[in-house]
Amino acid sequence: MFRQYTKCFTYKDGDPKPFNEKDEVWVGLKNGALGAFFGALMGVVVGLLVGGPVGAVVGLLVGVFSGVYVGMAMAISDVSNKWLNHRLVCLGGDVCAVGTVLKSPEDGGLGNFDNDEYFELVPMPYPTGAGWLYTERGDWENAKVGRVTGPGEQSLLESHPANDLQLGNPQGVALMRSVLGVTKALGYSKTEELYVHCEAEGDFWVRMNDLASAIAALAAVGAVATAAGALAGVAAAAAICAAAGLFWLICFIVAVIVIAICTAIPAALTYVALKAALQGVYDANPGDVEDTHIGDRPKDPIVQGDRVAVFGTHVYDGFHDGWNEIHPLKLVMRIPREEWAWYLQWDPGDLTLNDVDPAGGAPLTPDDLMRGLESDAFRRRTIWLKDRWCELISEAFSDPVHTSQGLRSQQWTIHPQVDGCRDVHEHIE
Amino acid sequence: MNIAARARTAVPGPQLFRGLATLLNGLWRSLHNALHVGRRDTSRSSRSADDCCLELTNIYRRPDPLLYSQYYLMALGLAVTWDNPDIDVFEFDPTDVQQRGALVAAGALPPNTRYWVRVQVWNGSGDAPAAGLPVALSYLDFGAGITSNPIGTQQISLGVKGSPHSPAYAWFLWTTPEGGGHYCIQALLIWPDDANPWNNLGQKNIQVATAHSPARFRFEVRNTASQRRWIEFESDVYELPAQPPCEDVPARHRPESLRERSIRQLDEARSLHRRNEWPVPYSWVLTITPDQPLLAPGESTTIQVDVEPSWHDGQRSAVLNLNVFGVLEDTRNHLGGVTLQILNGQVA
Repeated sequence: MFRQYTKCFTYKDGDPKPFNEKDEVWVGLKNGALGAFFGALMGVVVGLLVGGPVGAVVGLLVGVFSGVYVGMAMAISDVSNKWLNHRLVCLGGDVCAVGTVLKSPEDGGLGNFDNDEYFELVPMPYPTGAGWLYTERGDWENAKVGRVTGPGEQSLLESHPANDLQLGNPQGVALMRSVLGVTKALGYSKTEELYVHCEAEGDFWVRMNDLASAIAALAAVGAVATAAGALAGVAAAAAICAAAGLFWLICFIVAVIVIAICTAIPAALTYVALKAALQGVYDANPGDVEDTHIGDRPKDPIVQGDRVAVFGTHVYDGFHDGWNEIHPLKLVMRIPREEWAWYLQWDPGDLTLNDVDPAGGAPLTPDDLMRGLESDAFRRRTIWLKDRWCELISEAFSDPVHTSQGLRSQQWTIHPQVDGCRDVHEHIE
Repeated sequence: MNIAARARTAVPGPQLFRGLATLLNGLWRSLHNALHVGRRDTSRSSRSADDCCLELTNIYRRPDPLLYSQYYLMALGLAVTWDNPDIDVFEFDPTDVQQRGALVAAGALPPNTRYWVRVQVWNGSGDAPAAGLPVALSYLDFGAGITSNPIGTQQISLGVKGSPHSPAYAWFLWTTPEGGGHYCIQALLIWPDDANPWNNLGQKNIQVATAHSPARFRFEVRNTASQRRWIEFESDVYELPAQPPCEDVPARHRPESLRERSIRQLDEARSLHRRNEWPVPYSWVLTITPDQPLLAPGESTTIQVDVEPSWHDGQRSAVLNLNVFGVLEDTRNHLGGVTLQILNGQVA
């Protein structure tokens, strides 16, 4: 079963903009300052009541210090909340697409604070050769095809513009074009995510939210240890200078070195331990490995060049410069490569295809293959192939099928005649 | 979440201690991974065993197209019938090509006659369909280990388990060969990214004879191996039992993973359909001639089976399954089988 932690939200022009990567520093500073302010206030009040003016000064220092770390926990919680609930703009529910995986799936990595897994999908029938790689998306409003890496391919695309992902590719038009009322106000990157970005959700920010106070506490312990290290360094340097009777300049240099070492060791240990702990949490992402029948063979991972069908929610990702994507990805499945009839790719460099129409119609002619989506027959075949997959996949996610799958008559795992039962009274409401 | 709510998450409480425990656990796991490079615990990550790529564990799905597959079921330790419930032959109506006629009773088919053959295909996956699933149909002249003759290939749209497109059906027009006789019809589902590719081959192989003290059957057996092999037979009287009503199946109160359910149901299936628990009754008279032939590579021979069941009052028919094995030293390969249906000649 797919995992979903995010919720997309409905955006109207003039609403607060989605959480963006540029907001991260501000969220950190705002929460840190709030924490420090309230910590200082509380420290001064408590210190004044307990120890008078001296107590107020001590309370101020302790309050600011602890407030900063409370602020840190609040910042983590705040970012987590925005990441999960105010980053993705709904574009119209679940969608399905068929295409080729541009590059093997990756995850964001700990450095990017993201364990979502993603890949780019080149929508069928757009070609995937090296010369066909986009460097800039097409401009559909001005009927201008995108920029691709190969000059020959660029020329072919300009001769047959209906094959451009923004201008005529049915899936590209439906999934990748900017959406009026959303991207006009929020922006749309011209040069990033030039295909259909498909992203399966990881639980990193949910875990971060759960761990916010523990992370802040560990960071505070590390800060105390670092400060104690610095003080120990000062004491050690003073002792060395006094004992050896060093010249003041040499004494200063020795003091700097000793203090740096004594400060760096606890700081480095804190950093390494926190990073390792987070990496361990980040890697603890096994997925539902029990979701298999006995007898199922191991999976061959989806890799670059695989032809796949995907299903998921169509959203606009406002965290970056902005683009449409499928998020969360709810299903990906491999389309067999063995037979041409399962997939169609525009390849004007090779018109020797021995075509068979899987729907039983006339085969495509060399002219159809040359013109690609400008040819009615080629376009019809593309849409038929995509719909054949997408109708079955959408059906799998429908409520009646989920209800049916819950019936006892559908609980067989070997064969209905071997470990199934006869449906006498069960029926779908 | 407002500031007060966020601040509450930052103050010490059970969540803090749970969080600290989680971080310590994460630290331990990182140290463990660092100390055991090359022995990464892949079950705890989404990476593939060779660390090349992400497995997309929760969303990468494969269909499991299947039919009643005797070889697979026997490999699971289950008894089988060669009267395959997923392969049926129907009459052909020359006046209406699209119209399928009545179900044809199992047994000998007249030569040079057109029939519709229907293959019923199930999907074991509740998540992944198979659009354009090729179903290849062929026939064997008769018997076990005989060369396959293709009838045709059809593509079908197989939906997920529980959907209107599962089971899905492939229909084939087939003209029986000039020679006439019995045929073993074989259906193969072809799907490269199949969760379980071992349940894709099913056969229908039946002979019918009336018992006139005794019933006599003949079929060919061929050694398809490149070495001499002994041919052995295993007989039983297994028949597919009627499916129990779902009402009689006890409900499960404890949630199970798919894997747990799969293991439990295999255990239950083994108790109901175990291979060696359907012996031929001692009161039957069964003779197989020759009973253990030695065949050279490519050699075939005719096997004669004489069987005389002990009939109960009013019993109209009985079945005998013969499973055929090729034996070479310690290796015993399942070559196929046949279900012999014996009609009681004394009951009208």
